[in-house]
Amino acid sequence: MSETAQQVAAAKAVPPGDGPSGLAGAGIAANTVPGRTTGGSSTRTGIIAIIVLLALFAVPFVANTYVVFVVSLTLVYAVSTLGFNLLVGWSGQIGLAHAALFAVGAYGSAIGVEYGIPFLLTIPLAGIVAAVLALVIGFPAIRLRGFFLAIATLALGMAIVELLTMARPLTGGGGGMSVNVWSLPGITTAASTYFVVLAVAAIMFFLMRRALLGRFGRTLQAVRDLGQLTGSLGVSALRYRLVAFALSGFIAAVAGTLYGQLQTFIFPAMFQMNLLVPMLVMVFVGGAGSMWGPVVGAAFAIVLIEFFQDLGDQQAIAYGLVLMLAISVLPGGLTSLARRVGDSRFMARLRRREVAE
Amino acid sequence: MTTTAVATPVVQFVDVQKAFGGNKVLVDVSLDVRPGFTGLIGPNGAGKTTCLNVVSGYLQPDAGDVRLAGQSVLGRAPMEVARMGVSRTFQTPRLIPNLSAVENVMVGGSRHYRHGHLAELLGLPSARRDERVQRERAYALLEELGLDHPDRAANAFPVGSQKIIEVARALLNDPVLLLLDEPAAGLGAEDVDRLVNGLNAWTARNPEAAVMIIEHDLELISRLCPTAAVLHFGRIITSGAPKDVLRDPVVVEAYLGADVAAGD
Repeated sequence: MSETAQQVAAAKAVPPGDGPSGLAGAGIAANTVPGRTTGGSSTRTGIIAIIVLLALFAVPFVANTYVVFVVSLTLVYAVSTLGFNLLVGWSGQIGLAHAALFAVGAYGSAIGVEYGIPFLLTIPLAGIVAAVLALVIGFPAIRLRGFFLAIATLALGMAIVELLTMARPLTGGGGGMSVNVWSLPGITTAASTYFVVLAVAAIMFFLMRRALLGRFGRTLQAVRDLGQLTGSLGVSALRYRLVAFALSGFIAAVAGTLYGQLQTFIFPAMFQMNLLVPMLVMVFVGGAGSMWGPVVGAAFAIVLIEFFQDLGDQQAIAYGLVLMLAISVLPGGLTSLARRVGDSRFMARLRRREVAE
Repeated sequence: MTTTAVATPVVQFVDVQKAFGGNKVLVDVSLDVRPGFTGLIGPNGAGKTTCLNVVSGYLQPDAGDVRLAGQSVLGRAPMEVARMGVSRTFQTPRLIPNLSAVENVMVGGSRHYRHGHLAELLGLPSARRDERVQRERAYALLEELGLDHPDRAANAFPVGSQKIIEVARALLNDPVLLLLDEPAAGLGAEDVDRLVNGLNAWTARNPEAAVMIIEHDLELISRLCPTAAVLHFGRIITSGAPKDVLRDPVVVEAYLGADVAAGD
């Protein structure tokens, strides 16, 4: 409501007859970045965040095990998509090794726990291993664009999953391995895992929001939109592309460690196209390059996964169709919907005003 | 103006040559650019933008040297040259469309951030202060250049205003050498006045800095630049005060004559 008011105010501030016509004027108002710099908005975001966190914290106390599992899984996907969106949406690189790096997290944590490393410690450790792997992938990949980048990273990702399959003594090969589930004393395993997932998700979103709304996010977008021209701004595009790869790999693996805890049994086939394509759906349905798109996209995908469960091998095709539909119908994702609605109403009002004049 | 006349050049082009395939774009360019404004004019295809690309590290010349405060910029990537204090704008403005004007300007402040991204991630007070200072400076620059609504998304502005935003972004790095590629193209008369006032205010505060302007709007060149150099077929054919240069028969034939013939 207040955003609409702000937009109206912005539109009225456009002097009549200043350059382009009313249509462009509507564009100006619609594209206003609402309240980025006002303190009131950030306080409001903080209050909303606390309320949402409290509500999520209450879930295990009021809901049954199935609901707790579903919300856990949604949060895990949201964290994973946070990392994928960083790479695809914010840095503009279609790197497709995300599912494989997610697998590195799941396997790394499970193997680490078997070797006596405490589970909570395996979360950052697996993240670091994946970040290093992502750097290795990223080093040649940051010099490629578009289609070539996608193919190269897809191949490297498949190679990683293949390596996991071949490392039979460690990973159990194609048959998979069971995961030791870590549990807080005094509460059920499901609730315990849920709280770990919630804590990790909250930390990840808090930190990434701070990074993306600050200089790091601005520079990533500059690299995405201006490419090599960022050189003239004193910014190394290649370095930021590489950092995006590493950070996105780190986040993927962190999410992967939690995924292993939720699934309790992991095998290589879980981390192939049947996971990668839904991951892309999460990014694009939520809104590539948006702040809260990953949460929306993950929630959407959870529902979709439920729907498509019985399709077997045809699942990937179904996800592919959804992905194509999402990109062609709503390029900005679901998070752009609210703004779009605001725009259209606004355009209509402005057109009316022009007729009156 | 006497002080600027004796000042040492900020940038020196020394016998610069550049060819694309068989096409010699810069045949032999030698030019000293001193603090204050210098206009670089000439007909289309004379090699003006190539000159800017050579100074800013986007192109390496085939022969000759380009020196910034006595130091060669050859072999350096655009990023390194930018970090040496060279800022530039582009003929068609290149902004981040969905970021606000002020945040687009802040992207230009790379030389002023003393803190790594980790400090920002941890929310260290010094990193926050850096960010706040840059934001305030960005607002101030946009205000000085007469841009209203600095919190609006960049793609919501007409092209003229986008060019103003780009100029502010270039200024945020406190350049030693500012390169403006047709800053007035697409600007209304009022915007040009704002640009001129803003640039004059900035150079008054930064008397050591040099501003090189490529522009077809010769009136703007006359208003801003004590000296203008005329580039024609890859050579500097003359340079001097704009009013003298524009009266030079060689220039009239090479530059204005072409325009008149084209019915402009």
